[in-house]
Amino acid sequence: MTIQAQVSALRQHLEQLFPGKWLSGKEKSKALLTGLPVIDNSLTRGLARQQITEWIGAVSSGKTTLLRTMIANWCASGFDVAYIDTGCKLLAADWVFVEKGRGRLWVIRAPPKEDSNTTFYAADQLIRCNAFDAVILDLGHRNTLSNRIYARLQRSLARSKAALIVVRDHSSAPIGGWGCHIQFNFCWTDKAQLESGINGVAAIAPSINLRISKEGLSKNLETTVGIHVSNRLYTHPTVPDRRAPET
Amino acid sequence: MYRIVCIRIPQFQIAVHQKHERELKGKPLVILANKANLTAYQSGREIVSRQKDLWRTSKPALPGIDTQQKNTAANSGITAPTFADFSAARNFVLMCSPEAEHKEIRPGMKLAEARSLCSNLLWREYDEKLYIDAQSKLLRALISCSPKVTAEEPGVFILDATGRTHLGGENRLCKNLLSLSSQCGFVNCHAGLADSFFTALVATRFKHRRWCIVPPGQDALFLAPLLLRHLPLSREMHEALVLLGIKTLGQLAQLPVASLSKRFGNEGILAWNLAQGIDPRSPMLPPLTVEFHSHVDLGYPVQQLNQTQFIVKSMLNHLTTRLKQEALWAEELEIIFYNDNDRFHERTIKLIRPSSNPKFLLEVVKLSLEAQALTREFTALTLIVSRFTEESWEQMYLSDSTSPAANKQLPPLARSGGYTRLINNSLSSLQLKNKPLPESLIWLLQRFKTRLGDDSVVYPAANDQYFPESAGTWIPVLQNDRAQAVVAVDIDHIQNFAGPKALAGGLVIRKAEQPIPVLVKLKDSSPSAVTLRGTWHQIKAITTPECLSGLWWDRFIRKSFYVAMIEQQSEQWQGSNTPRSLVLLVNDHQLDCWQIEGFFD
Repeated sequence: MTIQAQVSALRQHLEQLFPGKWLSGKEKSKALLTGLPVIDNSLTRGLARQQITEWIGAVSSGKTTLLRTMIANWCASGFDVAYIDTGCKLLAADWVFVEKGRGRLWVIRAPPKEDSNTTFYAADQLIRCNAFDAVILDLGHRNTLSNRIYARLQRSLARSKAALIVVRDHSSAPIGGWGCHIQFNFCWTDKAQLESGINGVAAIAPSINLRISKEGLSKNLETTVGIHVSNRLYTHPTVPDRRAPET
Repeated sequence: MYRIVCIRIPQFQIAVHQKHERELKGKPLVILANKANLTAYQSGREIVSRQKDLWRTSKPALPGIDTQQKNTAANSGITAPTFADFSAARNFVLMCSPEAEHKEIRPGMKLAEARSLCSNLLWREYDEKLYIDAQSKLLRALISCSPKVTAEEPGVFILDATGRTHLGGENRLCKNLLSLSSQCGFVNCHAGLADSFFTALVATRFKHRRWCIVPPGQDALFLAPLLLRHLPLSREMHEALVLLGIKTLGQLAQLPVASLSKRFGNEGILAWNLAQGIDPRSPMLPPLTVEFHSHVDLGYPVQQLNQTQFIVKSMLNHLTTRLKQEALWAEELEIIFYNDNDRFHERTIKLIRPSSNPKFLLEVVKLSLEAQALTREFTALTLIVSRFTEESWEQMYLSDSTSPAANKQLPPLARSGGYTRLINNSLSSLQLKNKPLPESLIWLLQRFKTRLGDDSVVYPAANDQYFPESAGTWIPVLQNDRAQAVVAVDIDHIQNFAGPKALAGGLVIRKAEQPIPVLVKLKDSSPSAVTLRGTWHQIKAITTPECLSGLWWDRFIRKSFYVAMIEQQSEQWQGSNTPRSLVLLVNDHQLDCWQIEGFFD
């Protein structure tokens, strides 16, 4: 193996570990690796820029958890991400550590009463400004995304570097929208890992079943969520010494 | 003999806020001094001296004199916060309303301390422009009583009162001035009339007398029995005089001026002059106010955006030319639409950054018109630059602003690149990322601000609370009000102490729009099934409850949080692919009910 090939292999390996910084040229401009081997090494090779990716699952199916892991990896690599939260459903506490990265995460909160066009307007503007590497349009239970909207977003994406992820709540796998490049379907598996605590079960971490569909091909995968019982008491440095000075 | 009348509005800043927001009246309100308002001042020294003046002027000395201010920090032994204090820790209470004082809140406290004393405390940021606007409006109103009017400090006005003998006398002048102030919305105000400004100011401090007139030539006599704390002395000089046994202004006035000058320098001479009733300050003719407004009467109806834009463009060109001549930048625009003398619509457009660029301003107006279309046609239009600021041109740093090494060398504001210095300093979150702010993002923020509101674009911040909802807060990217109660968490410490996993639980919660009330079947005091959307769901796995209580100062919460995996019980799902959900099941002990507050997704 020549040195150039070795360097190329090393770059690819580093790209897997720290996505977005090691590949160059066309491959870099098109692929947005997620840092999740289950997605990057499968059918899709990461997420495509300038394309629409659908992220579909039931209300509770593990899709947002996987999405957060991806966003955290992107922010850690210096990518900027915008998340349109329709219905203001996200809790800030879950996303704090994502902001620790070098990239920025902006959340656009659209109240439930807001006109649906507002969220599409926000998505369109975020794509057009060309400042974000990924734009996530979380529609929640609202599944009305017409072909016209798809076409409009697709046109904006063509002039941008961003990848658009449309997150939808849907109990059964629907047909992909017009112009959708990749579709991910999520559901919990039967297996669930239980973490025992002092008095019983402390945490539940079910596995996520992931079905990837792209251009007529599909693949079923399974991934797990890192289980951890968060302790919210370590919020300050060591307790100050309040003992009275010795006399 | 020169006569001066002084009008003093106690706690002027509080009064201005209460005038603008009626709902603040009669409620505990504090004004916060934070970093944002400090930058408004020309220098740090200025605020220190102004704060000291505030502290001094709020010290009453005579029996019967305004006891409303007796509970100020000065009297309670709290020293005025210094500039360094303000810079180091934001959200200091600068002043508080009588209702807040009643709850033992004092200037100099931190907001968190004040909130712990009063749960329903309201707060506003120090808004210098608002006070200046209110002051200039009152100043213009007072001109009707005397041509020479000067605003000496916030809430203190001096007017020329000479030659009032044939105009109803001095009593009538005081009465008219107080009546005029009341009409302008400042009911609680006091008037003092004397030969010098200092004596007139001291005369306004009687609580039970709305006006006090010191007879001509008797200023020194009036001041003689008053305590030294009326004088704007430094702490050191005040203490030195008290140790020398000098307690009243009369005693100070009897001292030889040469010895005071030798011991205390210019401050001693100034104090001696004031104690004698000698004060060179006098009212002057008010300066001409600069207004930037443009009015177009079309004479025909217009509703289309293109036509409106064309009209606004020419008006903006005219206004920006004038702004450039005065070396000013617009900060806020106001547009008023008329339909045959009927003023049917007006809107205020806040700019994300000050500008005198007509193209930028036109784009912003267009965004506003697109976001909120006019409901009817208009025949006349007025465009006003309601807020403006002095233009500033600062040298950009030539080093690479994106390099972290270079950023460490630069002051914080410079780290985000040259032109971001012009933007409101509220874009702190962006600056912290050490990235230059692209022009496209500025436009984007302006669009979202105009169409979706100020708080639409947010970023997460940790909060030192343990309830799921309050353990983090969404902070608006465009927020310049840092008063939002966020108790910062040392994330680095948590990361080092417990590892990165400790920063968040394994799964993400998506909360329900409203908590969903559910019926729960209990088995051995543990939930075994719940109803969700009319059907029973069996609980396949559930954690031990996390029992939390607290927030008594806001809204007392006592809840047990369970994470439950539920599965629908239905004949339809007898197979293996039964849909499962992971929910946040909550037993609210305060309300005595069970509810699902969110879904783990």
